Amino acid sequence: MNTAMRVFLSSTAFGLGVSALYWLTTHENVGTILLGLFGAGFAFVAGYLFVIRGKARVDGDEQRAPAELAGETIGVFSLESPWPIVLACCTAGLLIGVVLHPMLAFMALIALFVTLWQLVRESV
Amino acid sequence: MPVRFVALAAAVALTGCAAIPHDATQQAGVMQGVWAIFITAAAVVYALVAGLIVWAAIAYRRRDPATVQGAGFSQNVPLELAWTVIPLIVVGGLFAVTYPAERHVESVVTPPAETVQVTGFRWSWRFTYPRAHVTVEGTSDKPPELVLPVGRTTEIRLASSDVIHAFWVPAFLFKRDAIPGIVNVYDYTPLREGVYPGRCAEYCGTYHAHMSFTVRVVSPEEFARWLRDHGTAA
Amino acid sequence: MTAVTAPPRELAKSGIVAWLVTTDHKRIGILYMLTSLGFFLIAGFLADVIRLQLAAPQQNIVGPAAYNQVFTLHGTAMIFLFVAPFGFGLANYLIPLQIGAPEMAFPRLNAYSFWLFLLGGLTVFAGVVTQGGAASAGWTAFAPLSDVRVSAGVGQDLWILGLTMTSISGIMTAINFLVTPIVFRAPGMSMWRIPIFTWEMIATALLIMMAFPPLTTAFAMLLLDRHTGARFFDPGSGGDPVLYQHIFWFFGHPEVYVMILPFFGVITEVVAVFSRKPVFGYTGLVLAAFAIAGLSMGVWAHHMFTTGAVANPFFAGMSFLIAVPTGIKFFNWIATMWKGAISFETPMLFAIGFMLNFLIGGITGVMLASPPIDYHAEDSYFLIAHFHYTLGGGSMFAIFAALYFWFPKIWGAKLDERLGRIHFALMFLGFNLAFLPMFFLGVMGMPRRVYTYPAQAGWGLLNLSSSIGAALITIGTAVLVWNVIVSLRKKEPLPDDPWGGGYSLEWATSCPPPEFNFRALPPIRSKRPAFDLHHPEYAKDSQK
Repeated sequence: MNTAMRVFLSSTAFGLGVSALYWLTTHENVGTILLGLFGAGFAFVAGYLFVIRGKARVDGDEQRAPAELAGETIGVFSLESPWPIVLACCTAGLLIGVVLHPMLAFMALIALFVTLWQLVRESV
Repeated sequence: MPVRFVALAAAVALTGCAAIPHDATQQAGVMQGVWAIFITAAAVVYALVAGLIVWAAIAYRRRDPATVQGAGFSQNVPLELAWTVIPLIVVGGLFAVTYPAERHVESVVTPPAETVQVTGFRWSWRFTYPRAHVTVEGTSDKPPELVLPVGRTTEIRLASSDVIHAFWVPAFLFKRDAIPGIVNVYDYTPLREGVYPGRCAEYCGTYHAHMSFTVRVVSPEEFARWLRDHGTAA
Repeated sequence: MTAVTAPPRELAKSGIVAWLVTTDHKRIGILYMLTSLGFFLIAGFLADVIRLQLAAPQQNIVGPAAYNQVFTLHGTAMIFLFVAPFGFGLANYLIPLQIGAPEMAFPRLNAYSFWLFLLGGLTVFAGVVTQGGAASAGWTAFAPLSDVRVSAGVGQDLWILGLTMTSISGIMTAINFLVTPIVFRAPGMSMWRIPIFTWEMIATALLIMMAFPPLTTAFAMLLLDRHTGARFFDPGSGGDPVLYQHIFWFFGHPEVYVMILPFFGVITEVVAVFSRKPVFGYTGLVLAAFAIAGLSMGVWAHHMFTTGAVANPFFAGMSFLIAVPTGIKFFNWIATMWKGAISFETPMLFAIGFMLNFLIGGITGVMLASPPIDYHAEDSYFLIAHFHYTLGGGSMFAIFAALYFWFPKIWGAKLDERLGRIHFALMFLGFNLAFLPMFFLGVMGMPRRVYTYPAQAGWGLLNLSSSIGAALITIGTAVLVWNVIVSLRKKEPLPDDPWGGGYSLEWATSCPPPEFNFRALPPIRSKRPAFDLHHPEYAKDSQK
């Protein structure tokens, strides 16, 4: 997990650094904000990984662990679920509806909530 | 083998340079210099790297089908540092070529000898000479002609009245976008009389392909006469 | 892997329903790859229409209105629906296998992102049957050209909506690409042992998470402009067309690397396996991937040099710098081949083709990064040639390398070598015949996105060469399709490692892998667990 944290930390540092450099050389707003958000977004993930450090144990970090342990802590996987494809249709309907037909958007929104509810029910 | 590749690359570079239009303006001369340096550098780098790839593929082809593993080495820090630092120096050099050339091309003389307002619209151009009150406007079927005096610096004030266009004279090695709401200002200093084709380079809709124009560079005397004739006509 | 449990299937084990409801990362990967290859065939057909129209001057085979739709859909499909999604499909299939995991971290999210991608692609193409036809504002859809007053048709709306869906889908799939290798690695598979392809996907996922939200934002602003009179990009009401370009290219340039980083990974794997050597400079390759990803976030305005509205030197300098980590990759590949025992199966042929082509694309990219050159080359055929060398000669060749390389793993049958060689020869010849002339056309003054050109311009011969090249590419693609059909018929049992030198974990399980991927994982003590398993006598070389 330390490597992962370093990936996000260095991305944060890079984003903020380039943002500062860009502002100093150009004084242009749009790019400075976009680059700043790029740094800040990764700071969020890096911060989270920092907070949970020590508490989160990952199999892969055990350099000499026997392979037979693989998967023990990973848990249960479903091989099928009807809801993702339904959810995708709802998302598409909602987006198209908002622009082209409000009634379609309304129906898609209701279906979207129902599907999300089904997904939550299925996963817990 | 790499030597032959370098020779080949140099030949390619020379043909590349020949394909670039001649420098019809003073600014284009500067930019052509940048083109020449970059094409040469590109040809040499291509020859070296492609030569290495082809060389490695031929020299280290598998001779014994039973081979499971070639040499075991998989790291060499000095080597890796070398191919980080040397390209860094090369691109530093390219930046050093780029920066002053760009400054020069972008610089605008005040006051200019002549000013032309160029306005793009779907799908043609309008050229206005504000001091002489001359306006030339084309259509997509009848491309307009921009007349410029040779040896003098003309300031172009580029704008658009609808979508984004780009004003490109290939012989001048230069284009600039015509953006609604913005006036882009730059200079041409033509060095040779002649007629040069020009086109819209930014896609602007159905008849983008027909949004062409010509640039005619004439002597200052002829330019003055042309302005006089068209001024009375307008 | 006895510890992984699966609830019983309730819906279907095989047939179409099983594919519709699947959350298996391998099936989703296959769906992604097949869909993207389908879009590739469509976009390739559109390219043929373009080349037919441009084969000679002053032709009118398709009129300007149709031509503009054709090139818009060609670019859109190749970029958003083929190259990037094929990488996603490959990653969906491979990441869990390469790190020794039974699944992706979020299987349902994974399925959702695929279906949303498919629906997005179909929505873009649905514009074809609407009144006014499909979108025709180019794949960049610059404002104000894409504004409702200029492009009034519903096709443009569907284009924006469809790509918004693929954008959301991309963000979802990137979450999986990030979380899975960080959290789901098998015991012993430390971060510094995961294969380069998976590392490249981590860098790609970071890019997606930073670059796709701005795209969604830009599209939302376009829609607000079109339907609520928001006027974000309308200069007449205080808006700014350059703002759209800023946001679009802040997505657009990282997107270029979303379309190439996965394939740098593919080439690294293929070159190492067929050179029979460990990957040279593993650490350098990983750091270079992140350097490329980071720098690519800060170069967006090199697409805007000619607007006169951006600080050109800053972007020129940043763009030049990207050449350095890209160069590192090239030199590491060459060093991997160095002193190897190289054999030239079809994947390796395509990998070498990739290197030779992408090298041209990369070098001309450095040229375009210099504003004094860009002022002439921007939006000319020089630019077209450049990015086709990176995405066609580069990514597309790597996609074919990947297809031949992992086909036996996915389908349990090898593609035919002889047909593969013919495919490669046609592709390599056709590609260079089609795109090399375009550099010269651009320098001679041919602008992009024109449906015709005057005879007196003297561009006829070079354009004809391009069109002949396109025909060769088309024949090559037909050979590939034929190869797939023929090869799938003669399935024969394959060993776990059909190439005889595979080093990452996917080569330590059956072809195709079972549900949850591994019956038993080998001990992971180096970067080459599968190779160590099959060739214990060389295991000490892997430890270096």
